[in-house]
Amino acid sequence: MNNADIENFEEQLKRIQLRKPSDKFFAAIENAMNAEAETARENADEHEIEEIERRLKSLKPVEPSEKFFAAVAAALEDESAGKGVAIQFPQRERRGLASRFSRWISAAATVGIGAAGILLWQNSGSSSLTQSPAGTQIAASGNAVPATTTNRRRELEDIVADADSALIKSAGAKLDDLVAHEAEHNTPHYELVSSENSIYAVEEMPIEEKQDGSIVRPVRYIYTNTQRWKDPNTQKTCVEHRPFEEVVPTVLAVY
Amino acid sequence: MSEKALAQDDWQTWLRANSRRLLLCARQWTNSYADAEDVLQEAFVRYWKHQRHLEGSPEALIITSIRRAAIDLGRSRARRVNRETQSYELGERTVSFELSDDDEARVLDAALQKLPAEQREVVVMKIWGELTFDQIAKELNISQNTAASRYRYALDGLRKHLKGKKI
Repeated sequence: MNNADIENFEEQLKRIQLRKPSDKFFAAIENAMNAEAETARENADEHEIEEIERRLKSLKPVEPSEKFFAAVAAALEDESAGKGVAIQFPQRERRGLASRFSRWISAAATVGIGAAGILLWQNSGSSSLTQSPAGTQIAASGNAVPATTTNRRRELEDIVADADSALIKSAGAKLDDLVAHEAEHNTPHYELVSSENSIYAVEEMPIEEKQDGSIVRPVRYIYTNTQRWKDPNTQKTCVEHRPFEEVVPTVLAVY
Repeated sequence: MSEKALAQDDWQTWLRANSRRLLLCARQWTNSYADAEDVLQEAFVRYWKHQRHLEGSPEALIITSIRRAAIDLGRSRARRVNRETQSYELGERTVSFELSDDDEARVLDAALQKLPAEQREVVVMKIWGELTFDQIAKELNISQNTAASRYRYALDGLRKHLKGKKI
């Protein structure tokens, strides 16, 4: 092929009109580029969110107070802790009635058994206490006929009942003393440990002008005062919550 | 969580290592750090005494107890709490984290406080409670997708807030 042929071929090539791409082609290119940009944006957002997660994890939360750890230690030693509501109130130790007044119960039982024995002994007729009341006939065998045994029995029962009554009254007095003693020595004596306020609502009221010319904005605070009490002897604690509401005038500076 | 620490009955070691983030979780459902410490104490004591033998993550069990104790505490006071006023507590710590002079951390802390409560609690449970979305969903009685969505929205909200602060 000589140069003339080459030039001729080039001329023919130039005359060929390339077909212009369709609008659909340009739209597809644009969509692809937008999708790529969107993906890049999403990747950047994802990267930023991962970065935020990393920075959040680097933040160090505040530590509980030493009082908290001491309270946990005390609660772990307390058998009754950890079973109920968040705030525990002290529970008095309760002993059964029988173990509490066992001495008095056994004494009363002894009296009762003794009284029953006396009655049985009298009825057997061998007691020297038995007297032959008037009207008793002596049988040929020498034994007294118990014509008034019932009356005598009643007399003896009355004697035993009186004795029981006196003993029971004495025992009752002793019980009263015992209860009073226990009430005095087992009553908890709490001391105030801390007092904190927790505000639940804050309401700003309209600004007012006072007589002295000052400008104030009353603010209503609704809060709870929490007082913690502790018995130093038993280490028991209790918490008291009291609701309060007060309006506090906030003085505003006027320029 | 260290199984070894639990096996050795060294509750102090375990609690010292995990109390910060558990307290942060408790703070999401209480009105003060004092209340948060109370419910955390109750939850941990209950776990240590009665639940250690149970299967599952100790964090999940304790956080469940924390949330229930906080709900009981709120009900026992018979008072409706306005979540928007949680920051108005007298003498209450207003920051939840130990912050140095790092402005970036302070801005992040402030942004976290501005999140809606339901988003913030998911973030706290996920990041510091170290719970899965499945555990979070069961605890909050929502679907797993909802839990994941709230988490996503929360982080997206933080991202936009930080962008606005140009941090």
